[in-house]
Amino acid sequence: MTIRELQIINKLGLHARAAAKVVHAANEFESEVFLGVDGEEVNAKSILGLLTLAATQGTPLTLRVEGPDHAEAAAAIEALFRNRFGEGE
Amino acid sequence: MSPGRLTGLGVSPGIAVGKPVVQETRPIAVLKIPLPAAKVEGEVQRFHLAVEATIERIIENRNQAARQMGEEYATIFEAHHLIAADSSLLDPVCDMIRTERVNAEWAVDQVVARLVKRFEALPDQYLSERKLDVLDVSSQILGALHGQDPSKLENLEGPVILVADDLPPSTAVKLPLDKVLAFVLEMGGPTSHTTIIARSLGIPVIVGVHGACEAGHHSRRMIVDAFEGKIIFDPDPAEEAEYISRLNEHLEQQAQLQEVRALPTITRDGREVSLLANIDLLTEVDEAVHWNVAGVGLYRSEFLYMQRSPALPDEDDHAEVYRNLVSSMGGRPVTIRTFDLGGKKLAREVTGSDEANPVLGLRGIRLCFSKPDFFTTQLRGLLRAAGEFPRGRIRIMFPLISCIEEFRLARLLVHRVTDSLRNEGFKIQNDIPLGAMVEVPAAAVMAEEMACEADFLSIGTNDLIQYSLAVDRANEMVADLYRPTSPGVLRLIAKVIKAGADRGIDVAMCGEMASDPLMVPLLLGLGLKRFSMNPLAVPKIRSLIRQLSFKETSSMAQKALKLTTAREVEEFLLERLALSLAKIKIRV
Repeated sequence: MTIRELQIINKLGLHARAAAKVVHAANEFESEVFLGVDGEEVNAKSILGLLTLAATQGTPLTLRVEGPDHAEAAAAIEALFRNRFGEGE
Repeated sequence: MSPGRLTGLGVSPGIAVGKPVVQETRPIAVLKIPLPAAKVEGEVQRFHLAVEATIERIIENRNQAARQMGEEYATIFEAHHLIAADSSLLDPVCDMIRTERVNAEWAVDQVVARLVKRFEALPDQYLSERKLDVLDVSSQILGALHGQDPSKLENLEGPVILVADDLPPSTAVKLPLDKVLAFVLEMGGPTSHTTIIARSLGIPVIVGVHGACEAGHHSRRMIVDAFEGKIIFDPDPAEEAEYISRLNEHLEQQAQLQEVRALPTITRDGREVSLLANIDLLTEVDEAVHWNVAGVGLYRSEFLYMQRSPALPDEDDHAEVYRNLVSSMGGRPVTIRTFDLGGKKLAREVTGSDEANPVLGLRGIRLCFSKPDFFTTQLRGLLRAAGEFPRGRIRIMFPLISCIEEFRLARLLVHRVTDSLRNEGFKIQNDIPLGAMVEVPAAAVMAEEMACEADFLSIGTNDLIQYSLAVDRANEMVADLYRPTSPGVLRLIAKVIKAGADRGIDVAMCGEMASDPLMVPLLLGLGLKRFSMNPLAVPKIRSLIRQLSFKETSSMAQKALKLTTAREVEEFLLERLALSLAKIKIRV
């Protein structure tokens, strides 16, 4: 299992397009991927779950990955957040 | 008005006579049906098949949108795909079918209602509106469960008149538009994407028609007159014959108009004027070039924001769009209006707040100033693109200027952005023409002073009329008070045109009045030389102007300015212009 603390640094937060990218990234792995805000955790392979996190710029999130490829999955998700979901700002 | 007749707002001109097809997107009523234990797994299976069918449809929609309108439009369907495959939706539905032994429709409805509540409770306006995506997907799943034929519209047996409560872009992109004679919509507005697509294809559209679906269900034939916003259901044969002959006349006139394509826009006595295009989407540029316009009089840059919403276009996006626009206009000058997000929804997305009275609120240049980051990004893109072409190819216009200070501040910001771009090593021209939209009555009254400061002025008549007469044209209780011929409005317009002429600067008009056949001769007579309009209106207005004499319209205009009521002005113009309008077969 891997647990990481992440932060949303892109301006628009975890909006629909960004959430879609997270789902696509998580779906690449066998592991179960969860993201949590203030103890409320959602499945990162669910766009509906991610959107209802209502995570805006600056929100700290906890990433929890469980499964055979947990290290790779955690690294991929973390890279996506750090890369501002591929958005300019 | 008899039940066989309805009215609405014609937003794309034309006439159509034909058979109605009604498309309603209203929710399907969902009933709770208890199931025997033996049928439960079959029901779960039925639900999975419906979901699969829905996903297939979404993928088709996505590909079609990407092909027809660009990848930008396709992203919405990608989110829909993920929602339709989301375990947060599918698992609870299957659980409910199994544990409560109910039909799939009921389970979908219950689960979606819970999801929607969760979205509604979100603090962020944008995120809580995503419930619409959930509802869109769930209604598609329900449709598939009901065995509704989702391809009904795609396989339209044309030609038909499409009557709908609303036509979201997801439906519009799938339509075989060559089989649609006209659209009649209960909702929608002049700037909805569906309207814009129809207008660019020359398909008549009337929006805001209450009760259209109900009436359409009970009719076999209908007439759509989008010139006047009139709809007649089950017309009597004489009426139908009359409209068919009007339609033929219209088509014949369209054919004749092709002849003026390459002719100059010049009056009988030799006064040459410029017809310019109002452009929303780059796809309309072809039409503008086809009709040989003198340039773009109004490029509405807010469409860039709508297309990328909720992300914002960056500096490179701006520069690229403007560069493409100028290149495709082949050297003709292009006037770009900085963003004017007037619509309630858009303004809310950008400002993040609801206003009690948005039309009098944070819009136009005020919104530009309140969001200096957005504005600077747009100006940087504009100035960079302008620097790649000869001077005057790109002109920048500021919307909703209400006082001189606003224009000065906008100009100052342009200068600051110019300085910082130069420091970064960009080659930026001096003296990019900067203009003001005159659409607030106080700005029209101050036209002389405006003309001393601005390089050009452009009269936006839709807002100028609405603000001058305090009338919201979309409010049917007062819509009849919206009179372009109101003497108060005409005198304001005359003042702006004169101020420009006195100061030797360009004055254009880019509102609907600039393509109204009754008003064009009057405006010509008042001295207006630049008329900016939907490219489709260009041939008609060019033929009209070629019939007119500047000398005669000048004396007509001076007399019209002395009249005291809108009705007197209308009657006077109709009487004086009957002959010219008849020559080019224009009915008013």
